[in-house]
Amino acid sequence: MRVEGESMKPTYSHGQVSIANRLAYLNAGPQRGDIVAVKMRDSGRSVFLLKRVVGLPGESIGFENGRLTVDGLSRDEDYLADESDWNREPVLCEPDEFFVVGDNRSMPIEFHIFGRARSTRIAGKVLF
Amino acid sequence: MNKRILAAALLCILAVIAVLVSCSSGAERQIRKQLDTLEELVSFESEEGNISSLTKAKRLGSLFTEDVVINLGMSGIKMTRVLGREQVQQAAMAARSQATSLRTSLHDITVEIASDKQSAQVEATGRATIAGEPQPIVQDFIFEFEETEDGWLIGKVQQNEALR
Repeated sequence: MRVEGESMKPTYSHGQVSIANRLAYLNAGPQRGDIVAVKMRDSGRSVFLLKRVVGLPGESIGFENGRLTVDGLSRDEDYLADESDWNREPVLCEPDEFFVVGDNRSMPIEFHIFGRARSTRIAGKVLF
Repeated sequence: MNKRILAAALLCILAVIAVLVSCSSGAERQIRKQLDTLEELVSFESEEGNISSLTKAKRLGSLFTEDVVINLGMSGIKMTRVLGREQVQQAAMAARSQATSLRTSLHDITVEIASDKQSAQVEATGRATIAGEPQPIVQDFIFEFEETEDGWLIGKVQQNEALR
């Protein structure tokens, strides 16, 4: 995959090439912190969103003054480089949903695609 | 005699199936061609002249029905509703005044023709690269096409959220 855009900075930059393992989640689902390729829709095959899993099924995920909250508790994310001012009311992940978001939280929240993705939409785990 | 009748009946059935298949694939081909044209006409380069812009905007309008409804509210862009072919043309010209260049493409296109062959639903992932913007806009769309005297035209466009 070729990365387009800045939403995963500093982990991935525009133009970088990465590889996703489509077999990674055959036996177990994504884990928190995994970087995954998410299909734009069920029948999508060529355009993917590159995002980090920050929320697991059954968890309530939000952002408060730039910090990720999981079930109401603030969580450290050592992969972030810049300060963030994001605020977003928590949403509950359903039993088959994962919350995914990019690492570049310094960009305005309204320009960032993030949210809950069903497991069928997660095409694979990004290896590098 | 019975064998001949049976063979003739089978041939008739095959002929009907062949006609149906060719009609539907023809419709899909026309719709995909319209989408290719849409990509081309929405895109523009910085050196595009005024006459060329006007011509492209007019051609762009001809891809839509007179009463087209377009609902757009993708990330970073507030909800916009475009009503009618004329507004499509105006929006195309407005885009040219707000950005120096725009490159658009449609991916993973699926076309589903309705059973009455008068309408079709198309899903596609659109990608737009605007000069000066740090990242491309990627958005899923649902297009509703209608068969008209002027061919297959877009009657409705709405976005389809990738993530909830």
